[in-house]
Formats: sequence, structure tokens, C-alpha cells
Amino acid sequence: MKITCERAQLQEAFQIINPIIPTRSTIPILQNIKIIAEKQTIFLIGTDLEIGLRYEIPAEVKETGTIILPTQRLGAILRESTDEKINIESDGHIARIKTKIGYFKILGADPVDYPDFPEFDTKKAFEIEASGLKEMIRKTIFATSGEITRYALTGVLLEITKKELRMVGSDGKRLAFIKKKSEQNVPQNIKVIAPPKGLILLERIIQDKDKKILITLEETQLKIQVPAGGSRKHPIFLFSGLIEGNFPDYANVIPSDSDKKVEIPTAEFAAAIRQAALVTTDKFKATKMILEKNTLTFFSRTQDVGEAQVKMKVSYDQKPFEIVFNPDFLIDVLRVIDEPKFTLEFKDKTSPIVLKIGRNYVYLIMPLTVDV
Amino acid sequence: MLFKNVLGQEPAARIFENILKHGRLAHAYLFAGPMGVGKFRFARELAKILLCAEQKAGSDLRPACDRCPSCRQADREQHPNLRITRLAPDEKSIKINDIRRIEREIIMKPIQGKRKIFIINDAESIVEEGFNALLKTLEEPPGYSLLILVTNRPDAILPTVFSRCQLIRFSPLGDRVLRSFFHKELKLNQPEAEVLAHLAQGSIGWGCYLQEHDFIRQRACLLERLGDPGGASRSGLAEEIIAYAQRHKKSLEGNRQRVIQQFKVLALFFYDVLLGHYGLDQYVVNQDQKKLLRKIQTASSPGDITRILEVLMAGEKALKLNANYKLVVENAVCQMNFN
Repeated sequence: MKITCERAQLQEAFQIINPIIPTRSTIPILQNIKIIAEKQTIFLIGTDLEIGLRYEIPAEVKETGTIILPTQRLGAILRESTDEKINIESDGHIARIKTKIGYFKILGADPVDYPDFPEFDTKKAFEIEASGLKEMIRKTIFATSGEITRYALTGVLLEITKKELRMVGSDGKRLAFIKKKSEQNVPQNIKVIAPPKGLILLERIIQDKDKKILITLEETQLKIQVPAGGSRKHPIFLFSGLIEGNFPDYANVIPSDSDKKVEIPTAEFAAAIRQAALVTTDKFKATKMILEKNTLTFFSRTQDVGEAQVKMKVSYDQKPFEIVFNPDFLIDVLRVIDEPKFTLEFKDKTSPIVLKIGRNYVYLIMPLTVDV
Repeated sequence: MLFKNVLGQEPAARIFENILKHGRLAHAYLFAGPMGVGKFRFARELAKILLCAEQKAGSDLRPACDRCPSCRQADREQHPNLRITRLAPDEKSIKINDIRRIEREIIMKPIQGKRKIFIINDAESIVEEGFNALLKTLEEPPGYSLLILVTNRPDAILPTVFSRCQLIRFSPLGDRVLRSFFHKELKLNQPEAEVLAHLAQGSIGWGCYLQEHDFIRQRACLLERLGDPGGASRSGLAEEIIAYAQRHKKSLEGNRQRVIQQFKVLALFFYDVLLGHYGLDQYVVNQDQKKLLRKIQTASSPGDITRILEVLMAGEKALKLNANYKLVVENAVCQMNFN
């Protein structure tokens, strides 16, 4: 392999791939980056086997080839150098890197040991609007569970039908559901659980300029291609493994018989609940919401800390009502809501609080049975 | 022969040949047996067979091809669907975080191939919380997963984990297997390989361990001292035994075990002398020491030898009961007289 490429581009690629590559692994070869040189392009590949990413950059390729190099060292060389161009030559598993003032000989690993990287099949792929997907990820992923004992809940449920995309995140105490109209050519409805890692990475990669992204779904993995466009000259390809397991039937959980409804202005509500949560502690996270005629009151009280009472005006003229819940669950969702208004729906003290934005976003919180 | 790369262990190999033939692989196994008899190797070979790229769907499994990328990755423990956890050299236990990592990895569907195999070597050193965390995984494992716990102390496995695994017992290896292994791999000559096979207690690992600690050379020294004429050599023998024990006192088993090993070498030798007395030369292990055997045989009576063997056994027993090893050695050597 013999290549010359722009250092800035290589470093940019590095910054995207680096977070994926594990610093410690039971399979040491994964701590490396794989570089493949083909005509006029080099491919940079990194994976931790859960997710993987392939990044392309243009390069002057004098000799094609493949090399596996330790990520940390190569990254450090790129960081320290100020050159415009950088030269990499390989000889077996050894790379020789030339900069203006430096010459490095870095020992690599045998490419045979590196796990196969999947290929993206554009023919099987369907298109999804990039900004819509980004929003869907952002609005569901925060609700997933960090506990591995309920492993299906550590991921986001992805449902794809011919006319709709749906995503659901839940940790058992709350649930976020979003759907979007989107036509795609899928032979049948698809239902998979994707781990958050890959989705977070995708959310980060998608830029405002991106219009469409391509997706293929297989039994064991989700493959995504962010096509070239805007300032991006080459497509990025990433894959994510899928979680085995059954996602709980979320449709049954979303209540349809909530009889109390109130419309809420987002910014004011967010400020109020954050204030009410001030006196809660990690050990005792509970806030009471009291709805009376045209007033909404938050009340928190924690032993040894104190009390907080925050009022705001709302238009409400149904029966007075109160419910206790974990304020963090509402604060979390308010961070991802961009809309100026949403509605809250209730049935009784033991039924979930339902937050709705139009017909497409539903967020549920299970109430607490303690009193404050 | 499905398990062509595994030495001995025919019963386990037969069990798995049957299991695989009928497609009845369980989700979790416990490989239990003495140290160094090839349990881990067997587990890795099983993984290799299951992951080998040359296997054809629908037909019976074939031995691992050893050539395909999958086999090579498995041999180097770099295979993406083979995750091996073992006790780190400077650790005393397998930590809860290691088990959590396995739990996280096991729920991700395999990326290449159809199976994901997890081997936990030294499973006896998993911390209790680790075992408890494993329970959940063992109860409802994903269909593609196979978990193999490997241990030489099945009694140290949490009973609830134990009962959720299928137990496969591994027995000590036969002398023939050991002999040929020591001869071929450790480049020992036949009689030396034979002696090491006798002392290795059916374990290649133990045999190699002894060899790493210069054991065969030590045997030569001991027998040379034994052959020295005159009373002076006897104190030399005792010094030799103690010096070796002290040289290797930091090894796995400590001073006493080192002495016991040397007593066993001597006992094996005297046993050969006894065989000579009864004309059973064909059973003699120390074939390379014929001259010395004959010399001691002519100088002693069968009664003498029996008494010496008893002394050595009593010494071994005393050492196991924490007696002062120097005193035991000197006492034993003093009683090793025969005329």
C-alpha cells in the first residue's frame, strides 16, 4: 500500500471513527483501525462488533492494499503533525508514515484477524428522510433503560411499515413513542430492537445538509448509509448489531381513556418543573402536580431538605386532580421537545401521565404511589 | 474424529459428537476436571468446529478445517463470535464487570455466522455477584448463544449456576497420551517422558509446569546423589532436596509441595528397584537408570526397599500435615540406608 492524502481529512475521519474503537477489548485487534486503499480512495474502518463505521476519503493511491494500525498511535501522529499532506506506505504489516519532519515505522496487525466488515447493498436499501430520523432518535433514545437485566429495554424498538416509521424507547417506568409518515419499499413490516450506541452515533453524524439516508435491515444487523452531499464528498457507512429479545407490547400501554386534558406551554412548564425539582434528592425523587381551575401547581417536599411550590397558569376547567411522579422523567422529555406547546392527559392517580404532541409523539410516565 | 486437535478425552469427544449429530446442543455447559487435561482446549475446539466457515448447512458437522479465516481467528482467540474470559494473571478473581460485559455482548445478535460462543475459563474464580449475574443469562439465553464454563473446582461453582449447566466431566489423561506428548512436544527422551508422565497425574498442564521448573534435571541430580558411594552423599541428597524446594518456593505450591514431588521421584525409583528384585523388569519406569537400579538392587534386600518406600510415604503424609519440611527431609534421608 502506498498513499498520500490530506492530513486534515484523515484527521476528521479519525475523529468520527475513534470513539467507536474500543480502548480495551478481549479481542485486541479491535483496538486497531483498518485502512484499505483502492483507486483514488481510502476506506477507514473501525468496529467494536456492536457497531462499526466505514469512512471514505479521497487520496492519491500509488499502490492498493490493506493495513491494520493501532488507532491511538496513528491518531497521535495526525494530531501532532501540522503538514498538509501525509504519506503512508505499508510493507507487510509494517506502516511507514512520512511527514515533513518525521518518519515513523509502526507495527500493525495481520488483516486476516480483523473481523469481516459487512457490505452495503444499495439495491435492497430504502430511503428515509434524514432530519426526521434524527428527530425520532432524539425523542426516544433518552427513555431507554440502562439496566441490562431487562435487555430488550436497553434498545429502541424500530418498526417499519410501508407507510410509517415508528420508534419506541422505554425503561419500564416511562415510554416514548414517535411515528412519522414515510413511504418505503419494504416487503413486510419490520420490527427490530436497535442498541442506543449505533443510533447515537447516527444522530451525531447526520448534519442539517443531509437530505436522505439509506437503510437496509437484516436479521442480525441494521445497515445505514449516509450518502454524499453538501460538504460530504463520500458516503459514510455504518452498521449496528441488533438486540435479541421481545419488546413489550407498547400499544397496550398507551391509554386511550384519559378524560382530563390540559394544554401546556413548553418553556414555562419546563422552568416550573425544574424549580419544583430543586428540593428533591436522588433518594427521594417525587413531585406532586395539582390541577385546579386554571392553575397548575407543583409541590415537592423532602425530609431534611425543604419544600417547593411553583404555580403556573393553564386553561383547565375540569375536576381538580393531583398526581405524584418522578420530576426527572418530565425534565428529560422537555429537553428534546422543540414544539412551543403540548398536551397532558390524565385518568386517575394510578394511570400514566400522557404527554402528547399532535398525533405523532406520545410520552408516558408511570405515577408514583407515595404522597408528598 | 470431530475433535482431532484434542488429546485424549475420548468420552467427552464421543458425547459431543452425538450431541452435534442430533443437533441437541444445550445452551450452557460446565466442563469440569483436573487442571491441565485439556478442558479449555476442548471448549475452544468445540467453538472452532461450530464457527468453521467450511461447515455446510444441512449436512453433518465436520472437523474444523484449521485453514479458513474463521478457524484461524478462533485459534488466535480473535474471532468476533468467540468471546473468551479468563482470570487475568495478576488478579485473584473474575470480576462482576467481566460478567456484565458478557451479559451485554450476549444479547447482541451475532454479526457473522449463526452462533455466539462464550467461554469462561477458571470459572471457579468468578465472584459471587458475578455468578448471580450469570443466572439471569443462563435462565433465558438467546437461541444463538453457547456458554461454556471451564473449571477444575466444580465444587466452587455456585449451585444455582451449576444446576443450570450440563456437566461434562473430563478425566485425567492416560499415561500413553502424556508420554507421547512429553516426548514430542517437550523433546524429552523416552524414559524421561515416562517419568514425567508418571508424576504428571494425568495432566499435561502439570507435567509442563514441572518441566518448566527444571524438574527433569532435578531428577537427574537426585539420582546421581543417590548413586554416590559413602555416607557423605546422603547429607548431599538432603541438601539437594531442600535447595530445590527453596529455589522454587515462590512457585504455585510452595516448599512442601516441591519436596513431595521429589519424594515421588525417589519413590518411583525405589519402586523400580523393588520390581527388579522380583524380576519384573518390563514394568520399570526409570529405564535410563538401569546401572544405578542394579547397583542399589544388589546392595539392598526387598525388605529394605519396602521400608524406604514406607518412609517416603510417611514423609509425604507429614508434609501434607504441615510438618517442618527440612526435618522431614533429613529424617527420611537418614532412614534411606540398606546395608
